[in-house]
Amino acid sequence: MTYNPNTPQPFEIPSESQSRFLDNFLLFNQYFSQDHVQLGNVISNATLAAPCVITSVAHGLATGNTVTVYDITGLLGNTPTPWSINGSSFTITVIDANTFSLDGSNTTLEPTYLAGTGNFSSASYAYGYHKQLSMPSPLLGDPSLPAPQASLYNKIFRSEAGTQPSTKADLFFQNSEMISQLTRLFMKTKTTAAGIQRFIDTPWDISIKFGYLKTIDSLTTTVNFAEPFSTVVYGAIISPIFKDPGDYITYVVSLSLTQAVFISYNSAIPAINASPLQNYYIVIGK
Amino acid sequence: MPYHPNIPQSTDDPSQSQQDLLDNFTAIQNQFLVNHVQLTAGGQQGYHTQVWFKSPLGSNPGLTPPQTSVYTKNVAGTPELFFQNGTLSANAFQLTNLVVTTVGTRYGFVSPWGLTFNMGLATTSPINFSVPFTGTVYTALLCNSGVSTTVPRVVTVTTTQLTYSPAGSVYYLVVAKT
Repeated sequence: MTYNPNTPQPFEIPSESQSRFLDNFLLFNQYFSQDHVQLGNVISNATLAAPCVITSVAHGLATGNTVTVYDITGLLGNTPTPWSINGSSFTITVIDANTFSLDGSNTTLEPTYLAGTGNFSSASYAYGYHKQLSMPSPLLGDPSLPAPQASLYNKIFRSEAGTQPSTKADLFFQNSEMISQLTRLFMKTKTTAAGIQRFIDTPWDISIKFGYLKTIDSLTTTVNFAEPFSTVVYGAIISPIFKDPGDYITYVVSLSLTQAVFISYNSAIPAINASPLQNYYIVIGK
Repeated sequence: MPYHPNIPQSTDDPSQSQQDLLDNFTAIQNQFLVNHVQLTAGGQQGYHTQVWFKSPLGSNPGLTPPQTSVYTKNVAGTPELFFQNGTLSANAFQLTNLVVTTVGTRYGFVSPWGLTFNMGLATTSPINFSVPFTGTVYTALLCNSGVSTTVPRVVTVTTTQLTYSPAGSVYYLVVAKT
């Protein structure tokens, strides 16, 4: 089955397909216009006036645009005589969001306009462009298209444990390398005696781990990452939380793909302080 | 390039609609070709090749879940990319050129990833965030600015401000749930 843009030729006219043709063209225009600039613009009214005023809901035109009118029944322009509005191009003047006039037209002597007939096109419309990209329902899985294809889609995130942190869909992008969640990144949390570890994978191929950590004066404290980095650790910062009395600092001792080692030193109380010191930290890697 | 959505009418002689029908099939072919694999391709018809947005929407579309929408909307006169997964403005996520709220040397922005960031340079405690948080504070980091030898420490963090000690000029970064 192939699409045939060059049919029907005069000798190919089906004799009993009128209603199906009409349904198809109406529906295709309606469906296509959900996300795209519509294929054709329907005229719902045309006045017997000079100039002729066209009604077309949400026409989106601006004064000075040019339109070409088709398929109006009942209106022939009076001047110059005789000529047809159909097939003619006009510069327009916008009256409101739903009406505009055809500059220089004159239909005052016409007997009638057959309601609902006519349509127009305009070079000012960006035909084929999107207005938006609507997605009716989330995908159940990732599309996994073969390279070099890629896909932008929505899906309700489901963790490895199968839980859904939200009932709303999020936006995803998938190429042959990875799946990137673009909105509302899923924050994973691991709570241990040493504190709270939180970690996310960003759409920039960067992982961020941060959290709250308890340390003991003069002793190293190791954070074993619940999810290791894959290739490189870019850096880490740790910041003490106020403790009274005391004046302590915390350093990064070492960093690897799987762990960060920190040590705190309390300068105000030389002896080892068994009471936990507290810190916030962040570690960023690929 | 005419498209005739209201032809052929029941009163039309089909033989007289041939040109209109031909116009329509040609218009569909040509307009669908924009951003899509063309209808006459050997395969993958209907796939997008890219997405061009004609003009920014005046407001968020607010489709009813589970419907979602990707669209452009003007921010400071420039179209930016958005995603919305609910009917509320809170369900709309700006994906490009995130708006940074600046108050002096304090900066903050709401990301589409569910995280809000506040950062900057402060000389006095408390630091009032340029973008208040609404959820859990995940981390708060401080370091000295300039030649101070003191060690700045977080005292408290709320959804609106960070208090630190001792006094001095500090750089800070606070990340929280949006």
